[in-house]
Amino acid sequence: MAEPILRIRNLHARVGETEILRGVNLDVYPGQVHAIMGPNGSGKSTLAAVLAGREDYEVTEGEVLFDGKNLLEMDPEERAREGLFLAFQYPVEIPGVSTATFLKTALNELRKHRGQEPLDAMEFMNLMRERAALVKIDPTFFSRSVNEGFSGGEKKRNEIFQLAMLEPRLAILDETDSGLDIDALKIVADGVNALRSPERAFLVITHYQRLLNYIVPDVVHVLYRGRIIKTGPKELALELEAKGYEWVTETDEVAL
Amino acid sequence: MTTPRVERSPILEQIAADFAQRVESSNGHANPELHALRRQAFDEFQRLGIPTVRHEEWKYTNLFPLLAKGFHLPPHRTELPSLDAVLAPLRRWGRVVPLLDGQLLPHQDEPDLLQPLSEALRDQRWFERLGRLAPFEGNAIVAWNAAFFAGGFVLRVTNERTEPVVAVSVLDGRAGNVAVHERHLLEVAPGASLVLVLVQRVLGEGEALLNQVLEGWIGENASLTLVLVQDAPQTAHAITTHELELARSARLELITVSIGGGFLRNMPAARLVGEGADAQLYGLTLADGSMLVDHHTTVEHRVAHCTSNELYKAILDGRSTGVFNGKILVQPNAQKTSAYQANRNIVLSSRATINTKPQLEIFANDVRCTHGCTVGRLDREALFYLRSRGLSKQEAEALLLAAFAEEITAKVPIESLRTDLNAHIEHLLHADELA
Amino acid sequence: MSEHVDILDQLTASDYEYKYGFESQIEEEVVPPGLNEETIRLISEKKGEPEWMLQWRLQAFRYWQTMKEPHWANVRYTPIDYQAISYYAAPKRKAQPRSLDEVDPELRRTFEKLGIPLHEQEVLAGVAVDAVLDSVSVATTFREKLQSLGIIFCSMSEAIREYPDLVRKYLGSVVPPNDNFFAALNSAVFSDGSFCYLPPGVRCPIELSTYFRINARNTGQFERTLIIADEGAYVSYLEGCTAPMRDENQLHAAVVELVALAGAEIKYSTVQNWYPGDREGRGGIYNFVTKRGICLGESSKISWTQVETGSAITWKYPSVILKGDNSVGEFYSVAVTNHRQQADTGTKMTHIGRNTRSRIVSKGISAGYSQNSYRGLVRVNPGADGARNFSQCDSLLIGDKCGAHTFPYIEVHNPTAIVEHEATTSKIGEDILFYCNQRGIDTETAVALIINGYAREVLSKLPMEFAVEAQKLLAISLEGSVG
Repeated sequence: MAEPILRIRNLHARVGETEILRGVNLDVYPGQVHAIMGPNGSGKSTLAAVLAGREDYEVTEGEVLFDGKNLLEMDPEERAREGLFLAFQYPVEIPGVSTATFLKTALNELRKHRGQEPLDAMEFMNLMRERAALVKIDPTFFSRSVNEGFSGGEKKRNEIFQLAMLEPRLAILDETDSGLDIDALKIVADGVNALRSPERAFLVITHYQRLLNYIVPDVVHVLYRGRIIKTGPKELALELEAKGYEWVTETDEVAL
Repeated sequence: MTTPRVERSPILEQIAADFAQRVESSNGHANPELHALRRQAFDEFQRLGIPTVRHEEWKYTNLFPLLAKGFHLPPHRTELPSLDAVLAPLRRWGRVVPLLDGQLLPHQDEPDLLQPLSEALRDQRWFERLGRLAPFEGNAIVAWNAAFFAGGFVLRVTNERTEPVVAVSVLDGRAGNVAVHERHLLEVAPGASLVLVLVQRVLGEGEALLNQVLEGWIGENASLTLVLVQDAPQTAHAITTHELELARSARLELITVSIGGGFLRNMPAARLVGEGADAQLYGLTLADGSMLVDHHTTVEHRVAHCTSNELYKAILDGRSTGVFNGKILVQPNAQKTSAYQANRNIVLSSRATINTKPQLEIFANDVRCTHGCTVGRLDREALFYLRSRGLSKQEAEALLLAAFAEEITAKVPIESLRTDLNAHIEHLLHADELA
Repeated sequence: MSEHVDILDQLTASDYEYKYGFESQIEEEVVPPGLNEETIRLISEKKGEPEWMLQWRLQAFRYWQTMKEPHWANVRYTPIDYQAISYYAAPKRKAQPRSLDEVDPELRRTFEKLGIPLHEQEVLAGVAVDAVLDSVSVATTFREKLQSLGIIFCSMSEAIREYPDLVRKYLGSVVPPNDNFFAALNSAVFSDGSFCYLPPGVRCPIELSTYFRINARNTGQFERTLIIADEGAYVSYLEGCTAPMRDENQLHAAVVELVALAGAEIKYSTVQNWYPGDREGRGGIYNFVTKRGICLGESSKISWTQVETGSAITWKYPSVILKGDNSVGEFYSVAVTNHRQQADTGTKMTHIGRNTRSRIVSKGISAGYSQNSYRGLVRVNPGADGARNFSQCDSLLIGDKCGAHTFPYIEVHNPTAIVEHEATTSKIGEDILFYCNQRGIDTETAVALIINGYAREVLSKLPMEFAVEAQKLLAISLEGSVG
């Protein structure tokens, strides 16, 4: 098998005095979709935040390799330029900055990093139109301020649209399904599925199995109290849905 | 700092003569420390002079026409007038505490709750508090008060008091125009709560000016609701300075209802000095004739994680003048401050004036502060809607104005007082209609 | 994060001397410091002014002598010695660079960041080359075109000589010589400035900006500008220059007067980035300006747009007197302060005529140890039936050592007026910065993006090419303020 895009070894992280991640191990290979499930407070969103480089979290132990490079040494923007994308659970609003300006700035930073020429206005517009269609985003979005006045569903679609524009190596979807009705969920899932490719991997963080009906994972992990306590095929998600998290937490607590 | 220009005027001369005459006798007993303090205060008052419209804080409010009426200090009295008629209607609001020309009258019971100021000041602990929140340095009104105050109360609450205290400042204008300087100290002990109503009444035909200074400490997790009721006839004038300090998690609700009187200038200040403190300031002005109502508020955030909110509304008719100056000060360490302020004004007459100046001074960066201010007329759509349902224009206007005003009176936690205020407001709005 | 280099600081603190006048006959004369009637007579004589102009100046000087320097603004500075200033000092020519290669590389970097065209760079840097002559001929072409439309656009000195009737009628009609201390000083000693008159019904086909920048010369510290738009005329005028210019004069006290007659419109845009002083607040320009327009005729309109990033101290309130019925006044402002800068700026809208409307949009940005104040007055006079005002004053704080202050005064004497004022103060949220970082945008670029978004409503009021430069300027003036 090829080298993993993401290799996490014994990752410990805390916020303030509270240790939230307590030894996470994970390998994600190109082309794979990994789902990370777990009850509230298990550390799912912390894992996403630590991988993206949010400063509020302190890594106390462990290692993360991204395409073989030490991810933890990089600034957040370096991680993004290396191809790590986080679809935020709560996308922020940026008043006055249009989605087009924002994405053009981001994309050209990425292209500069890859040694590519910046896209000119025409090429960029064409690319935006093409990718917007994937997530059924109306071109009137382009001139609207980033996420300002967007509904919950529009914000999540905008995250996937940005994913489509920036074409990362690894996309982390942090509870992208929360707050979405079924129609919006399908649109988001269709977008993600269209972006699956042999070179790209996804880490789908979710509380509910529902999303995994539409984005079918290769591997499912259960994160509990800061550790991955169970790993299995896609059927594991269904089993969790049927039996609840107690099923794994109770049986595995002893083993830990 | 530049020295303010001192106005040499007959008014100031009169005040100086009064001071010379009164200084030795104004405490009711010998108190050398207090005498010294009064002299210092008077020197400061003379240095500062009476503020003129050239002073930024008095730009829209001219004291001179008021003071030109000529006010005298209350005479030493030998017998008490009957106050029953004045006090009876107020008894339904709560426990009435009458002050006559500043002197706390003997009241029924609860000696632990209230003391006359002169008595309390013999206790060094209270004496040291005098002027700590309202120092006279640089403040002519407080200096004037400190030089002359003839009485007042010290009020201390240590429990969760359910019965409101209604302090009635009765000014005796039967022998001519009178000026009374009241000075109060207030403490709401940690965890305690109090509803305090301040109200003014005038006896006789003379005009009466009340210069009231109150210093209040709201302890940790304590709560104070202060209702300032200004509903007297136009012969009643007031300048109030209410300095309130809020400790950690303390709560303040200040409701000022200015619907009667001649010249009213209110200067409440909430200083948030403990984290988690919360101050809510509400004010209503309903002015007609030649009334002048000036609300000059200060909310100072000195520490982090405090919240404040202000809503002041005014309806101005006749030749009245409304002033709102709302200062929000966020000091450098007061991160995570959340401060809101809104000022809404309706001008009904072409001779009425509103001057409003919200003022944000922010020295901390992690804050959310907003203020909004509007001046306008009644919503024409709403007026039309009501008229299309058969109300006369006057009825419709009165109804909408009452609704506008009642957003403030709704904050008053005493039902009987709220009812009385709303009735008074409706009466005024309809009286206006007839005029 | 690495310490960023503040280009403007470096640039302006360097020993490099450069000039930007290109007129060939610059008198090398300096009147000794000090201000008295003799100085004024001398200035007037040197400029070959008529007697009425001299008398006007002397009257202003007499007013000035009775006035005191105002101190109500929220700014602090060391006292100005008015007798130590030389009131008529033609700039001394020092050795000029012969080509851009000889120009300070930091200066060139800033020019490039701003995207200033090459020939303009040369003019701004004072390069003594033929390109300058080209500029003069370009300027002359503009002038001929304007003349064919009947538009008068010339220096104030020239206007005093050539168009005395217009100057006498309008000079001081909006900002009287005794208006305030600095206006009186300016009226007594003003060096030069611009004069513009648009005849009835004429729309000026070009922004007067390009011409102005190329023609920028040392009009000195007491500049005087007068623009008159006759009935139905229109002009868009651009003052200032986005490129950094070194200035030896500490005190600037300019006066700008705008007069809009019935149906006329004047759009006045300013981009100001004079030397703000160094990081510790040493040096820097004191910019004490009186700018006022009057909507004299009905349905006239005056619109002020300003982007202020420079000067150590700014004290400036571009105002509109709304005299004509149905007239409109606008004020759009972005004021950035960094390091130890202090700005006290805002506007006055005085509603006199009926159905007059005004709109105020002010965006303050404070960083470093700076203090940024908005001060505004909206006044509705008794006769101004149906007056309307909307004001939006926002403050953005970067870092925890700066201050943002808002002092809006609202005085309403009319029951039919509708006045709305909103203000907010907030900071650049960590969450927004992180979101940008996560998309591969570094913090510096993110701040520029956010600031431009925040100021968009104002920037969009600037003429297109200036808006682009102003955006870049905002980014440059805030370099190194986050992180």
